[in-house]
Amino acid sequence: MVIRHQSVESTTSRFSIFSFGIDLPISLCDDLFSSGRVHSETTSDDQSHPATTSWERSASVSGARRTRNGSVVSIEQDSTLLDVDVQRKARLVDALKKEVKNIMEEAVSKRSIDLSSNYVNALCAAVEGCLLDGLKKRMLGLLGVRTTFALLQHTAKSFPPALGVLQKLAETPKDNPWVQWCWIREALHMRVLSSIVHHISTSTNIHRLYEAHALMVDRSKGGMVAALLLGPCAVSFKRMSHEEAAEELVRQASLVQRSNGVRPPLSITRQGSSIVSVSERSSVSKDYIYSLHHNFKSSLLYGKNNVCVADSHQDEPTKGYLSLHKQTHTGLLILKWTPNQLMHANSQPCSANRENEPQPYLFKQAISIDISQIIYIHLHQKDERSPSVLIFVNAEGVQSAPLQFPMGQHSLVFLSSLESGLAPCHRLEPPLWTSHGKEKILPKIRRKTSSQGPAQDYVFRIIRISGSDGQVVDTEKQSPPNSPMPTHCVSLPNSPNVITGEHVDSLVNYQIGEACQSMKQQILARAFFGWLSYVRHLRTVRSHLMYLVERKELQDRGKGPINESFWDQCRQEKTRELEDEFLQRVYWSGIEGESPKELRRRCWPYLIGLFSWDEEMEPKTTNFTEKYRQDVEKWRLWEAEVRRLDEEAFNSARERRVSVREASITSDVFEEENDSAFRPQSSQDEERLFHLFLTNLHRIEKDVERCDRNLIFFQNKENLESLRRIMCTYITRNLEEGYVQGMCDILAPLLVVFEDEALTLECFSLLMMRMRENFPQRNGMDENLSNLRSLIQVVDPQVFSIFTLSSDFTHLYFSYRWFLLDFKRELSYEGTHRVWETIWASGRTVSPHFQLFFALALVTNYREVIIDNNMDFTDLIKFFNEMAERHDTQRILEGARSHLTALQQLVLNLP
Amino acid sequence: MSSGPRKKALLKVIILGDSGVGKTSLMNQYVNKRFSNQYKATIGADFLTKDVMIDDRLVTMQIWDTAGQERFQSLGVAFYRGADCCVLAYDVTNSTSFKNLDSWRDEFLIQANPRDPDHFPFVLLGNKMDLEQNRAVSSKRAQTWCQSKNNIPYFEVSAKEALNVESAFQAIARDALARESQDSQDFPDFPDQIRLDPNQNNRQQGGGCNC
Repeated sequence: MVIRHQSVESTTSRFSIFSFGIDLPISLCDDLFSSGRVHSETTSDDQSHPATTSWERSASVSGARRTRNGSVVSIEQDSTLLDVDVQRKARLVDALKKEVKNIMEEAVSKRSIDLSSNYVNALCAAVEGCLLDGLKKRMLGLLGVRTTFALLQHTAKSFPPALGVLQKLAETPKDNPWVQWCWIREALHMRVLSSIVHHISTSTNIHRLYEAHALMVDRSKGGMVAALLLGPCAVSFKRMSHEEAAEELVRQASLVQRSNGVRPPLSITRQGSSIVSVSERSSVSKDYIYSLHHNFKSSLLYGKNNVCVADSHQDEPTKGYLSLHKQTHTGLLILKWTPNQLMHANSQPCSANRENEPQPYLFKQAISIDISQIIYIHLHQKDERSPSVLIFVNAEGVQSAPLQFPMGQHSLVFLSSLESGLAPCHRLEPPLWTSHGKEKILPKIRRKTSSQGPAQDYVFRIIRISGSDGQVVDTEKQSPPNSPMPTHCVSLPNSPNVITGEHVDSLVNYQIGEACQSMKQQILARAFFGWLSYVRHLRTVRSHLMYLVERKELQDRGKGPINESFWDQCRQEKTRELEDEFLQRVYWSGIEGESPKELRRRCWPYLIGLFSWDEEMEPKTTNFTEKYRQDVEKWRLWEAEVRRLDEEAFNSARERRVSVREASITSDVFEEENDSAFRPQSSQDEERLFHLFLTNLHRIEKDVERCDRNLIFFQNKENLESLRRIMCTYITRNLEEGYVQGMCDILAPLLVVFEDEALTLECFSLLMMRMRENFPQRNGMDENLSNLRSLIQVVDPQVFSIFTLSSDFTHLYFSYRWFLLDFKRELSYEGTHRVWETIWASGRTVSPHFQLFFALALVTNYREVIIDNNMDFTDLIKFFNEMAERHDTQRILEGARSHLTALQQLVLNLP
Repeated sequence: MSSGPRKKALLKVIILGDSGVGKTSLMNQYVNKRFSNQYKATIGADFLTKDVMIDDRLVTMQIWDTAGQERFQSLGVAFYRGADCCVLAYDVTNSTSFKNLDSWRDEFLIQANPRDPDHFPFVLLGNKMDLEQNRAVSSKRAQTWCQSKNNIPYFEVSAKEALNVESAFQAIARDALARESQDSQDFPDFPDQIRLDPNQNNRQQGGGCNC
């Protein structure tokens, strides 16, 4: 019986079922106990199942024999009598336990659980299974549909929370007609599921609802269902849309990384080790707490919570965590005390975003003492049962804040830890005595100052065991408390373990030698691996990345974005210097002015290179318009022909359908489309071109129709028609290339700026010279993906290692759309315009591949999200698709520019 | 729940078909229960997930929506891998989209390279059935095509009016799941294991006696 209770305790504390402040009836408590037992056994070993069920069975059968506190007098342990019902019930409850366990584990790591997640669905299904078991046919609703909804309706009559759920369901549209357990999900969301189930299982007319063998009728198991659900009912759930899910990820990561700020750009320098250290950055507070743990840099010798430090600002002494560390390399002993609040704030990530953040103040409170600076340690203790106070005094006589240990032997344990930490070079004087039970005790005080009553006060000195001095020459004397600092401290006589010099020397020398050796090896190994990865990265830089950037650096002279007056000056003077300045300012700050759109309309043709710097727009523009008009006329003829054909085809299809319906003899499966053999008068080549146009026209119309219709500009049919006309003209000029999906996306932002069909087409044609390389069946995309891969490898090895888990290029496919459309789908129109002009300005100054650096900045901007969630191929695609048009363009642009500058410097300094 | 180990709770479904037949709309209608005429042409690929109960089994459907222009088919190899079912979609008002089904199916089989191409589950969806007056492909024609391809299940649906979409995707999930369980029988984890069949041994011995 004793053992049983123990196992129950461990399980209940795990689920913390008792902490929700709900009074459970005694019978339910019994059930909890039994549930705890079952759980602990099922999780530990499946083999124990028969025994468990037999015990359960005897428990349920011999319900009358249960005593008040739930202990069971089990009379027979007949494991062969396994009832089918019992097995079935056990299976149902086990399934529920498993799902509860899953959801509770999930709740630990997340602030709220998505209501439509798998965890919730699985739990609801398990609950439904339990409730359905043995439900009387009458309750199964019409046509015997397996649903427990009727059960809820029945319960609502006598139980208000159930009525609440019912009303809530009526408000929201039923989202999924064939998932019957949406009421369970809602009840879980409202945190009343447990009480509803409990109500059902304890209701007086339960036998009218359920068959006798039902799970819910079972006193032991039925109550267990409600009890198990207490935990999930305390978790907070949230309905999340897909977009929110991505933003939630970003938010979580930014919380953790808030103090970190922007990740430094490409930071390979010629010191190899920096490559390693970059990835080890973390927030200050997190670091601080980690430093309190036992780690490879320092070993934790002692730790005690709730050690008080009296604070001058507050009346109450502050409680905190006292720890003693020994640094592995230097052997330094460091004593640290951290306020509990600070420890707490960091152990719970969600509390970090509370508005009144106590951290800066708390950080000031934290104490860190280097023991090597300490000469004296004072210990004051009234008697064994009262708290003891430790004060450290350093070489300059400055006292530390008194550390108050809780009563008991804690201060003694601390001192003995300190003593062992001091060894072998230092020791406490007087040393602690070793008692018979091998436990250290405080040295016996020889003389006590009578005036101080029973108080015990000690002064310890930390002294160096040095080879030359050999002997410690202090004489014994116990100094009285509160006296001025004695100039000379006295130890006890006959200190039992003062080791003589020579022996210590050899021992110490040997150990120090060992330590030095291993340190030397470690330093060498680190240096080697740092160098190795540095060399590897340099090779990547040399082979792949060197040619991405120009060697000439571009300085930001801080002149700000292009505005109207500067542009007017440019058009008047037309000097080379102004052109350089123009490109620089566009690269660093973009085009803004009073009306960015108007100004872009004037600047862009020069930026794209449609006009040379010293050229006026005028004669050319007229030519463009004239040529455009002619081309439109040309394809208008074709278009009319296409329309005629389409109509014919449509009519013939309709006729055929009618005739089929009337005659219903001929099968139209083998119908022939006679769309060839038209226009017999035209030559074969013209015929081919016409058919190319026909196919392309249909494609274009499909895409124009759905191009950014959410934008006011394209809600206007006129503008859509413009888009279609420009695209058709472009295709007429490039029939062999043909229309490829995505072209509309590149054309649309240009049209929005220019609002001039001929000019838009000319600029688009120029742009496509570069962009078409990324379209299918050309090499541009592969080059971009491969370059991006190399860049990530060099700049962010940690992210790179995640990407390379699947060893091919597919991991970078999330960036396919980025390169195909120059980020047009990822950003808003304003953002797209800004990024495009930066790409164009960069192409004429620092790098023709600015898109790579922008892509790199997009990746590194979310590196924490990617790393924390260990995103795979599908996660990345989903994440970036959901983040579309939600990026902080300015921030990413800055990141991209600094990545580029860093690579330039790296290339310039290549050894 | 505790009965038998579950092999996979994720069903990967790929929707293929010409551009503009309504792949994105179908996916969104099924997962998010909404229709918009503002969907942009899909570039690259995107997917949505939905949890469904199929005969007391909870599965997550991961539905992949791809670009419709045949030029983008070369990307397929990255996205088709590990698919459990392929949904071919065409537009009942567009006979070209129906004619191209063969090439979509063949391309999928080449790129996804499933273990048993002849029995890989395909489902055909004829979208835009609400535009009956513009119909260009009759149901009979589509059904005949399906029969010729090892009896592919065929559904006429409308993403706009939410007609048949739910039932079609349920059938898709069921097909993929049935295929999966059958698959695990056909291909045990160790395909080359040697079965020691006692009956066979007996027969051999019997043969020896006859000699």
